[in-house]
Amino acid sequence: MRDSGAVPTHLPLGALLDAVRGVTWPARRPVHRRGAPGTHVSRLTGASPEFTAYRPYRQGDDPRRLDWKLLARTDRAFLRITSDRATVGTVFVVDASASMAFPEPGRDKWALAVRIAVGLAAVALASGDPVGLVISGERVRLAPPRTRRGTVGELARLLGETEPGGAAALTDAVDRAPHVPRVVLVSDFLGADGQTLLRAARARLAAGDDVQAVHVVAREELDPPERAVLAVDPERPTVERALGEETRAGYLAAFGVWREQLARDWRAAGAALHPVVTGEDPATAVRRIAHAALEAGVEAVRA
Amino acid sequence: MTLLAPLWLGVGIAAALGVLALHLIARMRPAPMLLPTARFVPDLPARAASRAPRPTDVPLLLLRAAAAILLGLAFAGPLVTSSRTPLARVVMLDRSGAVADPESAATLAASLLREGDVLVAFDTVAQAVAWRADAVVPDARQAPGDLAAALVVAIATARDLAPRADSVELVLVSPVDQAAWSAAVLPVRAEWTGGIRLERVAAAVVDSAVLQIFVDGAADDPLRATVALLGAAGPASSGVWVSRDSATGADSARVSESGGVLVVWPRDAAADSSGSGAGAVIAGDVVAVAPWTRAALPAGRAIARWVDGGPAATEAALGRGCVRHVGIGIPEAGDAALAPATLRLVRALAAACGDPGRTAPVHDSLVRHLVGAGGAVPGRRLVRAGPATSPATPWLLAAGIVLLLVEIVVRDRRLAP
Repeated sequence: MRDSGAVPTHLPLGALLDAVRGVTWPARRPVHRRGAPGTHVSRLTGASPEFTAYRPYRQGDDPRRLDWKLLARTDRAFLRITSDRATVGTVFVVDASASMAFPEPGRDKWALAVRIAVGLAAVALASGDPVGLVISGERVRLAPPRTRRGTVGELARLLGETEPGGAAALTDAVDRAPHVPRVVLVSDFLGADGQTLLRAARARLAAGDDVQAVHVVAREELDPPERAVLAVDPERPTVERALGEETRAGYLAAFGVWREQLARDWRAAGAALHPVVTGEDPATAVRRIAHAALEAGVEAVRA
Repeated sequence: MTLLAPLWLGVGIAAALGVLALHLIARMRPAPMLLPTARFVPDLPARAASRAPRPTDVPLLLLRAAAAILLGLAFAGPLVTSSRTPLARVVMLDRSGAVADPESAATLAASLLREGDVLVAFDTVAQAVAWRADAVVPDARQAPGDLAAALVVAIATARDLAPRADSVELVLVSPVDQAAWSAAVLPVRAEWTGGIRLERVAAAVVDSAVLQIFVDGAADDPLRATVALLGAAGPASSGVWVSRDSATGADSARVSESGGVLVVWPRDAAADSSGSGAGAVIAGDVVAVAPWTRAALPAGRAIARWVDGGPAATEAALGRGCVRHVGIGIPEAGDAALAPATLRLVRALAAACGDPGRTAPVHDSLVRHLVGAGGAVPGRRLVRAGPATSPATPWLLAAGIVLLLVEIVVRDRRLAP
């Protein structure tokens, strides 16, 4: 692991960082090279020593890339094509609204979101990718993408200091996020700006960036208590619904339909959506997300 | 324990049963719980009624039912008595001069009294005495009785006894003579809804044969002729001393000690403002008509009256005896002093103290009215009629209110998430 900065003691992330050591998180598609060379496949061909193919010389090509030995042997002019490698700047946009502080008192959704963000950041940073953070809470906190030592610790400290609350729109945080090739949204997507957020994600995707959505769901949301309760939306207290025997089935059906629709919309837009449920091991979730990106990258290269 | 208003306890129990029914029909707002996905719950009414097989929220049910019963009990007014007797008696003992044998009457009253009963001894006044072994003491008073006063005190005493007794009985030990009777007796008797047990004792009898009258007037005093014709002229030591002038201190002392009758009947009394002339005098059942002279009188109990209601003779107690002032001027001329009516009038005015001239028994029909129908009166009827209050009421009210406050706290805690 490249980053070995100190992690705040109130976020016991050592086991997680150890668990994700060695995991790679490739870009889902070849990226445009920006900045320093990295480990991800670039859309551009460059001057790297990694040979890929020959191409006949065309007028206007850089003569320095001619394979002179081949020209001498065959009297035909070919260019030596090599693939380029790039870094993928990654920004995590973490939702810190009131709905993430559920269920009390463990705040399992927020805890899982923090761990996944830190775990993925550590994996990305291990690949040499700059990592930044935008926290969308009652006030937006921003950490620009960096590759320096201690970045994971800084991100963990920022997340650990954050108390989820309020009903801020996640779209504002996405808009304020630095323009980097990869944006990771960690949220329950229960904010009132669902469609606006999706449009902002489409804009990023249209610009060639990769957008990955980590959908955090609490087990209590999937399986609410059997006893009758008056369900109150923490972000909109005026929403009060009686959840009991009569309404439980309707709730489960409506919530299931919404989750399926959410996944369809985001995937149709070109983003990757990874549902995670509280209680799941964060390291496993990180590995799953990274593995999905790896498979998508292989498919892209084949295509 | 008895209840002043048992209906309120019934109301409290009914309210408690109503609370139980409401707990069996559970219609409540469920406890709130924060749920970010609340929007996906179908929007149905937050309250729903359902019939529960067992009461819901038993602690709240107990609190509410206890509060309802306590408040009902508070309004019912419980009276706790340490010992409750089946029957309490109020014995009215006549100790007036109309009783022939006061000692026997007192013994009879004592035999009727038990622990917790009350004795009401009466003559012109009535006094309630808590029963003791030595409470009944013969008292040979010469004053007349007042049955109405005795009934008033006895009925009030019976109401005081009512909380401690299942029923209360009134007993009258008296000869029930006319002297004790008045127009107020029957209206007062009507206040007692039960019957009155009458233990009638013998009335005193005036023996006219032994009547001796001493008149200290002159020889030509017409009153001396009347007394002589009456055959009652006696020596100076006679039981009746008629002073034809103003009474002296020696006269009063003698009467006070001997228990006789001092009749102050001035011969030359000045006529009062109503003047003089023919008139009628009524003394008991004696009516005498003559050209009487009417004189002013000092205050006292009227024992003879003019036909217009004014007093013709008054009596006042004096030690063991009494003194009578007579304002009837006997005509000096004529034979009015010798008329039979005048003789009866003099006999009546010279009668023993206490107007024994009216010791005739009351008519049986009036006695039947006095005794009435029925027996003892249930104590609760007497208690309900009175303005009695229970000392436990404020405490029970406070306890009920405290339980209601506790119920609010418990309910709020249960509704909290």
